[in-house]
Amino acid sequence: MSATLLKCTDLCVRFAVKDGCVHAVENLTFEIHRGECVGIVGESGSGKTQSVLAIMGLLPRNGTSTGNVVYKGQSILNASRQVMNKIRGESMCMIFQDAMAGLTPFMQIGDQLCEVLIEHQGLNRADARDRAIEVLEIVQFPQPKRRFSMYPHELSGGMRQRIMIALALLCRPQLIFADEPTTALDITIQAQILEFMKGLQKHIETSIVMITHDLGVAANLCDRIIVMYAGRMVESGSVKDIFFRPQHPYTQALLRATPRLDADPDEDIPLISGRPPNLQELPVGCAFTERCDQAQKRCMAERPELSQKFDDHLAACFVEQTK
Amino acid sequence: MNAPVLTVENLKVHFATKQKGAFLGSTTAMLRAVDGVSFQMHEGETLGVVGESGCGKSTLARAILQLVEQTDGRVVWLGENLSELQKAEMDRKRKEMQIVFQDPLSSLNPRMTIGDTIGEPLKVFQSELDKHSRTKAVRSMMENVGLEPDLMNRYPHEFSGGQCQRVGIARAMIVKPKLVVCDEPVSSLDVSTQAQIVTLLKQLQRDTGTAILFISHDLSVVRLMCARILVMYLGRLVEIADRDELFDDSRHPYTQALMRAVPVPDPESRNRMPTVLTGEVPSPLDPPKGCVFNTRCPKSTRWCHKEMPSLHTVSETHKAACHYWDGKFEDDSDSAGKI
Repeated sequence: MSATLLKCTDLCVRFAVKDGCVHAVENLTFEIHRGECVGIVGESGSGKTQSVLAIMGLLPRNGTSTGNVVYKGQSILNASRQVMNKIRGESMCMIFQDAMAGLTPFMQIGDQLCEVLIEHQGLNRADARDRAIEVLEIVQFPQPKRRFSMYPHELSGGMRQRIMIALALLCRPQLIFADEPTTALDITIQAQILEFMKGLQKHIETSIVMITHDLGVAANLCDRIIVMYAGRMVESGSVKDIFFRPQHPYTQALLRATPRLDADPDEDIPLISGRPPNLQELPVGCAFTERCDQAQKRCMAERPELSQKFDDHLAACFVEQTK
Repeated sequence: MNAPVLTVENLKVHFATKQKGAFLGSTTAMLRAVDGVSFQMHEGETLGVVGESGCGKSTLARAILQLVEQTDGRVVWLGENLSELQKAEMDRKRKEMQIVFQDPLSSLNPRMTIGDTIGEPLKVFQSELDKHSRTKAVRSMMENVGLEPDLMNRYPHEFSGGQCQRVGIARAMIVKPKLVVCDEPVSSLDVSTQAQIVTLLKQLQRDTGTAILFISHDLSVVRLMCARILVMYLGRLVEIADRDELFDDSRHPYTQALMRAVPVPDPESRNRMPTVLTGEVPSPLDPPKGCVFNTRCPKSTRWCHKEMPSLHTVSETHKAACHYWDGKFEDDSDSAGKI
């Protein structure tokens, strides 16, 4: 495997709320290598976004993060704003789910793009404009010159998302966190953006961390997948390991519940009953016990640690799977 | 099959929009949100309406329920033309036709307990019921949709998205409607919750025999839910067929593209390059001449740019609005010459 770009060890994210403390992310440990695409999969509230925000230093004020995050040999968790601004601008960036919220509504899109280049790369206005248009062409933004002075509300959702991706690509980042980049888009536009991201990763050797709840998207784009449940990593492995020999009952249930065009539509969908646990009062044992169809007595009393099931395939479950 | 409960004939909904003029003043442009859609629904049927944002799915649903004014055409419900009814008469009809909205939280009143929300339609339509029997009905309805009846005094913000959607469904079902319009009921939910809600809707449909008009952009969900599927593009009906017929033998390139765009949850299929549709949906203010899909269609010919295709009958249960519905491309030059 190629060199490690980012190493995250025992990352915990907690939020102070009125009546206690929300454990959003617990002991998350993973590595991102250069040029690979890692998917983080899980339901809402499983800690996918919060872990990435913590790494980027973008947690809201009531959030605290502990652990260790090393990016290119530098420890960056809770680093100063100055240090983070430099890293965020130059080599690590994030694509948000809601492109409208990610753009400033009263600034022309051209200015928003140029601002990044002027600020972080010290370009002058004319050069910044040329470079911005070049990047807009890379992301297949239609008619970039004509639309350069438009405002975000004048663009369609797909075009806005392309602007977000262009913003992320401006400074040729080495690591992109994409938080559900296609969830708000139409399905044919989603297909376009995914195809584009696939090509992008091949061409410029960027590492992508793709947060998604859609296993179809993950299957199409990712080399490795991390499955999260109730703030913890419950399984991680290569995309084939996760899809063809999932070791955690949650991963298995998630795969079964995903609607597929090739499944028999008249069969009942296998349900995951119930809901994820309250992150303020996590159970002592495995957080998935209540919804698990393979739960044993031990699962209630003790929390399973991640263990190696196959090469580079971890799962946090006591139950030994047969295959 | 017996007589249809709902007949939609050449339904059109056009909105006049103000456009900034080239100089001073403004011009009015027509936005054709729904443009000549016809179909029928039978008792207890589930019909899916699929299409991308802006294709007019929701406007179609609202026009059927007379929540927006139609420009032309007819909506006939059990033999009555709804647009001819007085408001009071139409309001009575609403007992038979209910709607479930997309955003589960914003479609509930934050200041009403969910028990009151679910019971509200009873107050309106069955005012003869006293408080006690209303509470009883609410409790049993809550049980039917998988909500703990003891939660009836809680407020919407205390519930998760999936639970709020159950409240929305309970509110629609409590008056035992004959038609429930579900406008993207699961698209804001997690996969596991989505499966729970689809299963619930299917089960309620089986138990009560209500017809469901299920609007969604997600073909894989529609396939689980619906016996018949209608595909819309830019306000027009482009294809309608029974579920299996549509999936096995679709005749419109747009339907085919939609199916291929669904990401397959299987890493082995990733190198199968989906034919990605280029470009975006054109503005409904200025739809393309000829076939509305011709700007993005991989198969479009001169004929498609000249003439709007009519809805061809593929089989008794299958219609498609494509000149090349029969797959005969070779005589293209001839047919183009004819016009």
